[in-house]
Amino acid sequence: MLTPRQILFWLIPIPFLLAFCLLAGSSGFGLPDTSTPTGHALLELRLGRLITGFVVGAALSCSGCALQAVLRNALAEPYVLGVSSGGSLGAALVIATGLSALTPLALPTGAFLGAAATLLLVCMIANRTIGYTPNTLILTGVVAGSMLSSLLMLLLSFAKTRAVHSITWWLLGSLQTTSWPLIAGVSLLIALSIGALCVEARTLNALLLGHETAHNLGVRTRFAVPCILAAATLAAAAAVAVSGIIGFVGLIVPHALRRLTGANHRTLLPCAAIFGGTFLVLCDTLARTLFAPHEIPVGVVTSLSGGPFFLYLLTRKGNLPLT
Amino acid sequence: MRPPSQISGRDGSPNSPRMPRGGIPIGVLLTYLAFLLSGCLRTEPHSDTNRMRLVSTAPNLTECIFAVGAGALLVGRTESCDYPAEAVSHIPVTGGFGTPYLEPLLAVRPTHVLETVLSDPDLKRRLDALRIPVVHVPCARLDEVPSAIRQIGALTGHSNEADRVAATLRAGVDAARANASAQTNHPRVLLLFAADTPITAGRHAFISELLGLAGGINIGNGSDTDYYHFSLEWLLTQDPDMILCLFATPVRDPVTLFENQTGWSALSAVRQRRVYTVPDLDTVSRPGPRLLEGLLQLKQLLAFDSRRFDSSHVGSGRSQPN
Repeated sequence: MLTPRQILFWLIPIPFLLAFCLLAGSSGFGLPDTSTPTGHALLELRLGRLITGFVVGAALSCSGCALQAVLRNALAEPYVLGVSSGGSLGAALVIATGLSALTPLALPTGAFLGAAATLLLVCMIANRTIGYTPNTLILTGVVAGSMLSSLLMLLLSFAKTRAVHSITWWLLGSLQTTSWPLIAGVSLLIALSIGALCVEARTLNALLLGHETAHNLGVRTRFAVPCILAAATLAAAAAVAVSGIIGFVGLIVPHALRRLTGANHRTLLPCAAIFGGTFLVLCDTLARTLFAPHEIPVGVVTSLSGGPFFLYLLTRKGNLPLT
Repeated sequence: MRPPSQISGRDGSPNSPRMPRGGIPIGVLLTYLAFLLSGCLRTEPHSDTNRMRLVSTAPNLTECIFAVGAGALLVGRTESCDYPAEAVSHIPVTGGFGTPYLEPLLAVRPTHVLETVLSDPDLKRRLDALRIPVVHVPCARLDEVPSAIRQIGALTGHSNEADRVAATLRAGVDAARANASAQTNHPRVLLLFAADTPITAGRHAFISELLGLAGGINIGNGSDTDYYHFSLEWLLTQDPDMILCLFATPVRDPVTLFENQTGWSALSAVRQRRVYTVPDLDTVSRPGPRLLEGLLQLKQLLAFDSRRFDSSHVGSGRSQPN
């Protein structure tokens, strides 16, 4: 486990890595000539993509950390409550109805509304049963996700070929955003969600010991658990809205960092935001430059690059403890 | 022991009718079964047993079948087949594009299934097992269209008509090829397939070949892939002269889709408002007997752009050539 001094040491190369990602592009390496309209637009595109990648990576990593703690499940990840299925269905509806061609904001809005509605539905169902217990939440999320995925399949089976292509590409995930107001809005929502999770870091530490123990330690679980779930899942929903479904980041980054920094969420959550964001930006740089001008889905790179590292950690240290 | 009156009715009355437990679900099940069986009892239309019965698995093949005069032999089509509109509307749907649904397909008792590409190669094996001949008709590239028409003509016994159609297409293509090579102005064009997803075509795609015949150059020609997802950064470095939207645009002027988007707004084509669409998207994207109509649309579009751009360099906004 790393000491705080060692963690700070690991933070030093991050600005350089991000600068490297800003300089790398499918048109070549280097800072574009900003005196020309094309060069200015190139820099704007790369900057927008870098910010989106960092923010989405941070959101997914922090969301994964929080959900693994609240649900006390090593397999929990940001999409466990079905937000990915809800977001996908929302986005697919917007594409299939042709609304996405009206304005670039229609697609992220549809995806976010779908994801947020799913979160609301899952929380309502969980609240009506025996409360926010981990198993109830996971099962409700899995069932809601399956139902929404089935609706998505139904929609795909009736959609026109062109719409199917667009939906499929959206589902594969991409960090290309062409609207600064969208990037600003999503960044604000994610920053607020991560801030709320950081404020509740002590609660997350207590919840790792079990809801009953946390209650005995003075945590108002009936209030804290839904708030943490909402913050974590809203961050994931905002990420889905702007980037589609990017898998693996929310699962492997929390586990890898827990090995390196320990399970204290006061350290883990800020580290997850910084390292998770940087990891996704690096993966996206590979996705857009490896086979230029073809772009490969960033989710493919996250899985292929993060997966072996995660398996290495797993084989070296055995199981996946959350504490 | 309870008296019989307490057993026979919920209200205790011996004569009150009571549905046995599970009666409603059984009734629903029986109704559903009767509904299903009614489909089996449907009378088959009278048909000549020796007559060829074709099923098309692609809209361009359907168009080829009608073009050679064999439309009467078509007994099944895809959901995407929409031309000739009046004639195909009476033909049962037996699947999607390249994806025949086995049960409706068997119901129309085809003698031949025509395919140009199947979504699942295993479908051919399954149809072979059912003793339904699957005829592969290569018809994805520009040069394959005349030969596909001749192949369908030979299969259906309409060789004369097929030869005539194929010769017309071949002559039109050859003339366009000669014209295109004589042209001096060859605008570089981005072929865009969706407003929300940056997808373009590579050099082997039908639309790319058709654009070349019309005198334009597809900026995606560097790729061997038919259709691919491109990065906006690559597009900015290519900076095409014009953008051709190959999707139904909900707005009157397609340039409005791009002028407020980061990256897109810096393109010369967007700044000069050289963003267009064509009235009939199928003729330019479907390798079939109407390819000369598609070619004509593209030629008119390029001529319109050339006139407009050369005269003023400032677009009026409306992008449809008439």
